[in-house]
Amino acid sequence: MTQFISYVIPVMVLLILVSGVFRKVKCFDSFIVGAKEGATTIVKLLPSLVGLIVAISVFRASGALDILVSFLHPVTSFLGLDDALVPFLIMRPVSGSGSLALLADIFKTYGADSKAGMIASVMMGSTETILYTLTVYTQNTRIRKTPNVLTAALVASFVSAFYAGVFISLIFGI
Amino acid sequence: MLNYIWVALLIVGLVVGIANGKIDAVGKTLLDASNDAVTFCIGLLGVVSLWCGLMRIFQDAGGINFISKLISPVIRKLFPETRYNKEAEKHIVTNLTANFLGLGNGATPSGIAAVHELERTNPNTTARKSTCLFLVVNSACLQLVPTTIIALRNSFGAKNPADVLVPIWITSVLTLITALLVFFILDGRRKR
Repeated sequence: MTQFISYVIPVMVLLILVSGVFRKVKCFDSFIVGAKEGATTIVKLLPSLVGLIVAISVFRASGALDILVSFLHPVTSFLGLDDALVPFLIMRPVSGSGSLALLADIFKTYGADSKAGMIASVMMGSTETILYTLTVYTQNTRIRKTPNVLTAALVASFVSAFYAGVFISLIFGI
Repeated sequence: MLNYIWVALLIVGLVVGIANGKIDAVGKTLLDASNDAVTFCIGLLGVVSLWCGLMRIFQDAGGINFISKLISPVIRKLFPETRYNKEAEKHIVTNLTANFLGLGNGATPSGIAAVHELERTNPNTTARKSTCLFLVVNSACLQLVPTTIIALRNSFGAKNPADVLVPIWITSVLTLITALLVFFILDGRRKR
């Protein structure tokens, strides 16, 4: 499995470059245009990340996070969830930059290769910020009600924590 | 919503910090964390720029059309109404392709356009089933290479930053199936 994974990204890069050469794209020019967009996206992300990471770190350093987590502990232990994931689970449907800041917080506190770090990574990659999507996609219409969308999305986002846990254990044995 | 959460996190954090006698730690965190945020962004900058540059080559080589053709049959199955609304189908396909390739900036305009097109002839404030279905599909994020996650894992010293790819793919598909199942069950109940 690990062997296969190390091939994925290099092979994709190769395929992209071959498709570019094949379709006579000026590869480096195109690359610069795209890379500039990517860099701009991250630079624009900086202010919200500063705000959110400061807020989350203060919340953790003050001991407020511990209080919240121990308050929710009966529920999480009943569901078999890792306490470390609770804030992330709450934030994920609400805000993309917020969940990115919490992902960084989990990496910093428990490590990127810890079980919590792995599960949060997988959840981050398999769910969307549905509240944001709902608001933005319907803003120009007269729609006010989207029956069952939120329920379905929230249930799925919650259940994905369990899928992530199961597959992380199966594949990496942690 | 984030406005409330952000203020609440900070105010509760500061008050609890004072009550806990941890005000020194909190004060230092205020400064350290803002530095951390900049470090995170620098950690993301390289990998995200690299991948966006490569994706641009793929786009210019006609990659979007290629992926669109691959997913069109599935879209037609899932949204039978789009047989009479080619414009909506086009936007849905563009949106899902952009999401799949991780072109966040490309996904939002086509998503807005798709919903607009699907709802154009709807006089009600309740969304049509096809619109809801489109939003549900959007709630699971099927993304080929989640660049930001890999970049962040890389900057936090993960041994193999990309090793979460396969579990992410499997979990994404299962999450999408779960979302669709829950939606169809609830929708069936609503009709009865």
